[in-house]
Amino acid sequence: MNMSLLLKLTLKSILNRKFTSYLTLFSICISVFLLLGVDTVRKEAKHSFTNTISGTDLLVGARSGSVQLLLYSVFRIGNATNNIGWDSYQKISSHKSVAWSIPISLGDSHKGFRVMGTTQAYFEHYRFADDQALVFEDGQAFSAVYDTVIGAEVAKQLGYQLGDELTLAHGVYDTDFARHDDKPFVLTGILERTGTPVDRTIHVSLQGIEALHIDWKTGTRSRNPVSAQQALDLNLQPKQITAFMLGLHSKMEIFRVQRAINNYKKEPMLAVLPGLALGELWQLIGVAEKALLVIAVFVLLNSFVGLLTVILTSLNERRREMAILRSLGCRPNQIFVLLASESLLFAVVGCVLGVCLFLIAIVSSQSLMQGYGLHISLSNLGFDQLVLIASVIGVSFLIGSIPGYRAYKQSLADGMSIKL
Amino acid sequence: MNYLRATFILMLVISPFAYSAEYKEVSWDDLMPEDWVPNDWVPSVPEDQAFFEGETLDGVMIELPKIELAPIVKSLDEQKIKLPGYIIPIKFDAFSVSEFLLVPYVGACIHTPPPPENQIVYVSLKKPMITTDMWAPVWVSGVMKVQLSMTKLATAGYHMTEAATEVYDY
Repeated sequence: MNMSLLLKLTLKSILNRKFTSYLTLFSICISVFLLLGVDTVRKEAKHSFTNTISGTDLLVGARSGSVQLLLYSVFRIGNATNNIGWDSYQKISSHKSVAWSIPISLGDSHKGFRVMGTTQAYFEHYRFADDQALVFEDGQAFSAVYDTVIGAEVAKQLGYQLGDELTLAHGVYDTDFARHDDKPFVLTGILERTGTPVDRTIHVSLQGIEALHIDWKTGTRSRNPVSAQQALDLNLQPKQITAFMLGLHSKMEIFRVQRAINNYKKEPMLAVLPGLALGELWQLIGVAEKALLVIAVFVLLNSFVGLLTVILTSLNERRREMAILRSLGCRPNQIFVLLASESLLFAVVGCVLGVCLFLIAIVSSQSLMQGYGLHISLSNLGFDQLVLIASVIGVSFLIGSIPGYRAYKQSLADGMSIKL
Repeated sequence: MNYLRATFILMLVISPFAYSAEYKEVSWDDLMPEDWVPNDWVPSVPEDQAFFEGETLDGVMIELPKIELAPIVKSLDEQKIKLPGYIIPIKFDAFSVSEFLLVPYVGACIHTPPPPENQIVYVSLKKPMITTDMWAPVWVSGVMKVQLSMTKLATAGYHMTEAATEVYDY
């Protein structure tokens, strides 16, 4: 009896038990899909996470925690505890150790997207994902007070074109009772997609932020508002900003500058190294990410146990089948191959189906993921996923050898002398 | 033929030892010139005032003693050395670090000023290192480049190139 005949027998036997076979296959397919999905999402999440900032030596904001500072200044999640004075910013950014600085002013929004006040330095010095600079897909950086530059996701979701007018809202929720509708902004530039929170940000100049709030000094809109044109004639020099990024001439000076900023007596401030803050944040999130993976592995183990149960149960039903095969001259080790190849077949087909399901899911959920700022690229798939699939198939073979061994042990007499 | 085989096997056997002998193990103290006493270097004015060039809390300018940067050991230039320390990532992606600052300690920065320039090594790895535990100490071996002026502002410093890392066992 050769191998192909054995395989044919296996296949026929499986087809004879269609319903349970399909169910087993389905459960393997789903768990392979889950394992691949969780693994990919967690890796891609970490990628887009660490890709958000690159090349910045220090991140400075009001005194709070390093993770919080990172969250609000880079990820635009949550709010700042306090602003920092413009003079402190001037003092530090003009220090001889500092090569460049990017001021950031947060607090307003537009249709769910955060508005960030900054300067030209942002487009020049901000780097993400391994030293990539921001590139304009269309238009250019802002030059006038009421100019604005938007990220790729904002442009896509709101369908804005160059020259469109935007009304910003006071606060992080856009409601029609707290809008800066007297001072509309004109769209001058759209940035290329970066896969970072920049895509979901509306950038205006610091003077623009100042002009918006010039008649909001009491915390609400003034009874005699300053018009957009009038505001231009006023002093739009910002008095405070939310945070700033620093690039130094020498990496050796990072600690010294950090220490000096943290010890700055005139204003309590916090300077953190983005790399360390990201690491701390990931230590926090990493637990959840690992838990997800553990769950996925358990689901897979569970479906293996299911597979084992199905084959072992069928073993009882198939005593006759085995006995007939044996009496026809089938050797015990061929019986073993018959059963082991059955689980292998389940695993291979299950894996193929699982991978197909996974690919379909990724392609179809691409836009949904981008909405969450998560960019999943198929190009990152490869070796790791192959190892996963190979280990799934390997384990299933090991599991298949259990019923194989039992059938091997069960003698011919066992099947023949069964009492019905 | 047998000789050849024997030589080959011998080379295989001793090559790990040859590798470790190639890099000279140094301590952090070796990075400080022998005649340099760190305590003398600490400026007499509060740190932040010194940093912001002699301005008091009220904004009055004061005369400051000139702060010298911590001196470096020039003889370490071009040497193959091995040094233990902690990693402060500078250039990184999700799963690996390619450039980092190597420092003798981490997390103690609140009590004392940060390590002086001659106690920080800027490391460029030959190939990115996979990071599992960021706070774990490592052995780093590579070619030391002593840079007398790193930038136009003349910050001296150690730069280790073509470096590789190993796990540090406590």
